[in-house]
Amino acid sequence: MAKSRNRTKSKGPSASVRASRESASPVSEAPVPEAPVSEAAVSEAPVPEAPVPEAPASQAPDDPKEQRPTPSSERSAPPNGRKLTVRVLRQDGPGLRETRRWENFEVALRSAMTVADVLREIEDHPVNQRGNWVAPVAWDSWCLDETCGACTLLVNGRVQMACGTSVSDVVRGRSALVLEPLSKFPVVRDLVVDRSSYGESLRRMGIWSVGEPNSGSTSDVNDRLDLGRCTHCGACLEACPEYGDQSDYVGAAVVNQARLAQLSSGSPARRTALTEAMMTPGGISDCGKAQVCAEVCPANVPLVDSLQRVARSTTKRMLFNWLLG
Amino acid sequence: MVEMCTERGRVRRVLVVGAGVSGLATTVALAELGVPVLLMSPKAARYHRSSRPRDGLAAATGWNSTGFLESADSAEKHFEDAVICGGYGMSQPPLRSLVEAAPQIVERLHGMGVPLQGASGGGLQRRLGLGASLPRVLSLGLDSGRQIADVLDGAVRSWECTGVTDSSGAWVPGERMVQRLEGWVLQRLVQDDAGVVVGVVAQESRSLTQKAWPADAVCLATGAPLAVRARELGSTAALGMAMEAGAIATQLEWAHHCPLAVETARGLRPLGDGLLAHKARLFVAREPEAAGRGATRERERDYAFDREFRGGSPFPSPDRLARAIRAREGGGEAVFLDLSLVPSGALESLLPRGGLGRGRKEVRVVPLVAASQGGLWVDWEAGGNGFLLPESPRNHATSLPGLYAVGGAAAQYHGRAELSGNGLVASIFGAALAARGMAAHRSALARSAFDLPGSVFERAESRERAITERLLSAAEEKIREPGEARVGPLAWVNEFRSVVSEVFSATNGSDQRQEGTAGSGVDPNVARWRSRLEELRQRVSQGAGFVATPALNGSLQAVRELGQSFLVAEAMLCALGARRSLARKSETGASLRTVLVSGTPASSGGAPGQAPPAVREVTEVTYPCVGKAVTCSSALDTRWLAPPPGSRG
Repeated sequence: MAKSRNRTKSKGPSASVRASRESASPVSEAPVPEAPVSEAAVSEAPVPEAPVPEAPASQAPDDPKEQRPTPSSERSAPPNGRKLTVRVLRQDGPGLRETRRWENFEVALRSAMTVADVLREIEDHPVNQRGNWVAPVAWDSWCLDETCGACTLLVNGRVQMACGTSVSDVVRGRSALVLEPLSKFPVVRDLVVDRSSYGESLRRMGIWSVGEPNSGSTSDVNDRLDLGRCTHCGACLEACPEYGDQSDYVGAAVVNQARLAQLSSGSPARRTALTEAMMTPGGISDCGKAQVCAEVCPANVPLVDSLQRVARSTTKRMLFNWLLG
Repeated sequence: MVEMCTERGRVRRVLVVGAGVSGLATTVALAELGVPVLLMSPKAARYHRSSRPRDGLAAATGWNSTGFLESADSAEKHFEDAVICGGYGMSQPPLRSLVEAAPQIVERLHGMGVPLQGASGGGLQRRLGLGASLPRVLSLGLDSGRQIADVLDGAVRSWECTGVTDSSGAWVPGERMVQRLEGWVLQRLVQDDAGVVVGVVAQESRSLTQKAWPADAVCLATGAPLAVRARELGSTAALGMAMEAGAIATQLEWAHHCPLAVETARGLRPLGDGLLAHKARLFVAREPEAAGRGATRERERDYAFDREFRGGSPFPSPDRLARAIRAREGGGEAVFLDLSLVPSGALESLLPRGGLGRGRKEVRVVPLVAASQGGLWVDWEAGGNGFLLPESPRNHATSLPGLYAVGGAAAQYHGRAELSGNGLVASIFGAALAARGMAAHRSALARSAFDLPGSVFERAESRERAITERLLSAAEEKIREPGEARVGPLAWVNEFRSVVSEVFSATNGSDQRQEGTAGSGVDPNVARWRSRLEELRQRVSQGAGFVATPALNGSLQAVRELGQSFLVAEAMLCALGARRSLARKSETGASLRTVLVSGTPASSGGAPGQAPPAVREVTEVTYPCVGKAVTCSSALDTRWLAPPPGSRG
């Protein structure tokens, strides 16, 4: 059983930022009051003469700020001479386990390259390291802006979004970039997996909101905005030790959607129904509190908070049901 | 009263293609009207282009808790801002009806669970946006589009769990009001002998199965065509398919510009206009080489845009701002956004996820082209007072009977440029109208698509299967050819998109002046673009080399979609030329027209030896709607606000 660990990664806007968001009243006709902010002091005066400190060393070594971005072609940055070896775990079709194999590619490295850029390079020139013309590596993508959640995969063993991962952050020196499909979902082809079990869980548990939400308080709306940041990428399901073939657990993403639907529903009957849905097999009781979900969430959704609140409300409901026979 | 089922128990559905905000909203509206829906999307549910950064919802009037109008804004002002922002390039009755309905749309979404922040003193928090003279954008941050789509997706889910009852009131076993087809890619419209759209042929992207789906009406909610930043050409191909079948397109010559995009550690990302509303200011760096890292010194900054746009009220429209920034870039200068006055809470919700690096207080911005503002021409019908008749079957009907279009796929409300926040509202407003139109069309059908002889659909299916066969065998041959350049068809898609992007960047608002070609009527650039596209089309028609796979073939899909997209690109170039002629003739403020284009049938298809697509301008549309012939001219209805003489044509 995993011990609960202290998490330092933020699971949402920090309390001070949330406070400043509440107190700053963005643009109405009244002049905007200068809200106290938690970061560097802001004043009406023009930028002071002293230059802003340089970007920290953890930034990508090839600083994209040096590039002049051209409007028409985002991928026009010139190659910087280095070659990247990319190892991809491929499979030709659903259920075709015998076609599982590693295939290597070589890609000319450019600065500010993401894993998505690498995969697009391979698509443009689908030739493997041996010089054979192959089917381009299949991968799911849609927005390429880190907002839709389609391109989740395993990069060097960790679950990431392809468009949200800089190559320079995960590859050092001459090591290879290793790409695998998510392991908790059936493979369709190469890096594309079938995540329809997520949608099935949402349907089966009746997760949608009904009735106008009662509370419009700022913090409630902020909570819903935070929970609503989920892009349905499945990273939390991939990382969760409880989620998988060995259990019916629906996963943090589904629990989070249930909580969001509860907060967005005005109908008390619906809110109760959602709590009861979370008490069915595969619901919140299967959560092992490892909290890895919050660590890997690319959208910083406050998952641990959602899980804890749902757990408390199901406990209360269970007692209520028990007391009333 | 429509018989819900055929004799053999098949439910008579209508089809919605596309599951972003527009498609989801149309589906919900149809289900609420009692019309069963087939919702088709090329990807799994919840992955769609509506996730792209969107600015929010624009709505003018609202009531605060004490029952008073909460601001000096009004539907009239909202309307005026939108008309001016769009360069008077739209018919005014649909836009006017849209802005009047906007507050109810916001109320409805709020009631469905969309989280909208309240303002102190009651009402909802609003901010300024590009093109607006008063704050009226209700924003959820950069992922406004996705949060709204998710709420609509939840509503669709509830209908997916609701059964269908037949006319006797009995449940139809195993059927639900909404059935989703995820991973199905649209390939062709199916029409009966009279040209009425009776269904589609689509391909399941995983198993590569092709199947014809009958439908009593089809709605394209496939998104704005000629999308430059997408990996796939589905929205462009959908427009191409419709034009091939005879539908008329309009406003393709105008582009949706994102004037502000920033370089993050993970590449170029578009910014919405929210930061401008939160006191970010644009400046031109006099010595751009010295800028870039760290802060630009005060004396090297020229807050030129404050002057150019008269202190910022109204905020400039997105295409004007994009043009101003491009003009500076063209002169060797660089434009930056000064973020030092923006509160950190706003920064957090309005900066893209790539981040800009800690403590950055200024960032270089460049304009990006998103897609075309145009799309399928759709009809509208207004009453005597000029407002749309909500029950009319003409609203959002394309010129193909049985085919409707909503959202980015249709061109109706925005003209030259979309007022900040109007896009999402227009998708939902259009969805409600289209749903009613489709329901009316379905009720009035002499014969349902589901009662047509099976041969209609079998023929369509076989035709598409034959095309797939041909493409696969050509692909195999190409691979074996010696000396074949090792470039896959997906690279050709990039080439296509880069030509489109170049066209839109170069023509950003410049069509009222023929630079350097006065009187000649032919722009040498257009000839160059045309020849690049023709060269690409030749290459595609000679066959693309790629490997066949038992599942998921992105190359096959790319070749098909590319083949259907050349017609749209040619239509865009034709529209550009027509717009230029119109602009030349409009010096005296003659009544404005929209440019309507039609493709001659069978002008695309991508088979070798076929002639290049031919497109011509038309000045009126005649089409049958619910049994009556309707004629509309290309003249715009500008009954409330007349364009000033010499304004942008």
